[in-house]
Amino acid sequence: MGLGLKAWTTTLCATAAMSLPVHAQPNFDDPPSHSSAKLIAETDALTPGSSSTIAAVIDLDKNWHTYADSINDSGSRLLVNWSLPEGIEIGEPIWPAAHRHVQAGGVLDHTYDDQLVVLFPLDVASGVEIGSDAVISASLEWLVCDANQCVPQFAEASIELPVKRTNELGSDAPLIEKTRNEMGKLATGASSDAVMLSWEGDTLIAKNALGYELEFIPGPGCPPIDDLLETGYAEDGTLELAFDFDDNPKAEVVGWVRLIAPKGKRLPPIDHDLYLIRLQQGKGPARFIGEPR
Amino acid sequence: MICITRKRTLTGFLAAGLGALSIAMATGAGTKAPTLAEGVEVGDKAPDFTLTDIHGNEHKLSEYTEEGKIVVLEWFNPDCPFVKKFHYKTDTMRTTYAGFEGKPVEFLAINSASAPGKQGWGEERNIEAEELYEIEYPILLDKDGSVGQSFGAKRTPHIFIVDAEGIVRYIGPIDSTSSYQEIGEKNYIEIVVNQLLDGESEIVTAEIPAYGCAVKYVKK
Repeated sequence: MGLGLKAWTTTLCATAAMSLPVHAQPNFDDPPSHSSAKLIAETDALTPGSSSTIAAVIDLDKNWHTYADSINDSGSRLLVNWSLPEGIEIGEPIWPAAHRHVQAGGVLDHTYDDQLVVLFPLDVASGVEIGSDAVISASLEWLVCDANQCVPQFAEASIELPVKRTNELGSDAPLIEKTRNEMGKLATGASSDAVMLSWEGDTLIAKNALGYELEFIPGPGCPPIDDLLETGYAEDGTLELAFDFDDNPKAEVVGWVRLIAPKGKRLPPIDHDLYLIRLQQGKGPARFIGEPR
Repeated sequence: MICITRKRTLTGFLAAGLGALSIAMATGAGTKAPTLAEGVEVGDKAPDFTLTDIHGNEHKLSEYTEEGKIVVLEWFNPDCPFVKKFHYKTDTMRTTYAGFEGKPVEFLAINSASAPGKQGWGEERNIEAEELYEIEYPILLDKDGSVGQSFGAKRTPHIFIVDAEGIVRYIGPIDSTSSYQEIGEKNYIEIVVNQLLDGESEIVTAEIPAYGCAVKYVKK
């Protein structure tokens, strides 16, 4: 596949697809817009018997944020309800690393500013007819907040892709590739990693010896962590994350360790400031199944 | 899947006593953790409090439980979209409250939005909401946020159900979906209060991650 020049037909209707309220009130079901949504695809066409990637893109107004599929005290993550043609299947979402967001009163959330791109694997059955057009539609619902208020957002988005024997990368492929590249470096336990991992019982210890501050961003499905507000950030370069595996002893620790250079300090440079973590309790950091669920 | 953050446990009256003393030293949005109140967990003694409602009447939690009542505490912000969902877009809270009429159950809404300019702040706005949403139970104003922080209330809506012994028996959402547009199959308030009224010892826990608007605590 090469970089294609064909643009996809992407439509977006920011409509409030909601049931009628019990009472009439102006603007209740038409909340003010502080973001927009669209679907994009990696390729300019779909090919029977192959896989591709599409993405839901949320662009946020300045000073507004939306929420990750993470361990949060508040907020609500993006919900997507797909309408798919026969023979097209969408897989589990792949979320990028969010940012730790602490508000007054110790309310801890993990959020995105500016833009959120959630990737979705897409499989095309071998029997899908070549020459047809596949219309992939989604109802999207997400919550945006600024420092003072929260507002729900809704959109109906769709993308139409021709079904062909071959396809090329499309005009939005760079954004999808950029999102993949920002998933972080997989923590492998190699000595070149800026973050070293070890277990003490149910406690995962992440260390950086160069003086960087660390924060842990839980990913989707991550087991609960004791006192994440306090333990999810380490000024001294050592995170101690006590996981609760009571409900599922085989639960996978999924998330990211982000390295932050303290202001005013000159530290040795590092190749990666974001490490992707996928581990089971007590097991080493070399296990890599794929991208986050 | 449940994905929650466990809090360190302070049980019984210790939590109640220290709650008001260990108020958060909030830093505003950022990455570092402010010092904060511990809050309560299921099984803890509920911190007692006295708050004034939007019409000037005082309400003391322990007076209700000493009368043998189960108390449903609903952290409330009239302008949070998820609060609107349950009070205005649907009649969930009206019918839930009405369903326990004549039974030893008290509902108290608590607004801990404590800074001017924050969504849902102020007596006037809450009086408007009481009328518009047809709320028939008291809306209490937690002006300094201390009650919210003693419980560890983080969002609206955030439900804490206290049994007649003053023990916290449920902490979680109202229903079983985080969608603003849908109503969950399970109404946890109805389930839990009925379990308590029936004398059941095993109380359900919510099966979905937390959702809602962050409580707009005042920066200190």
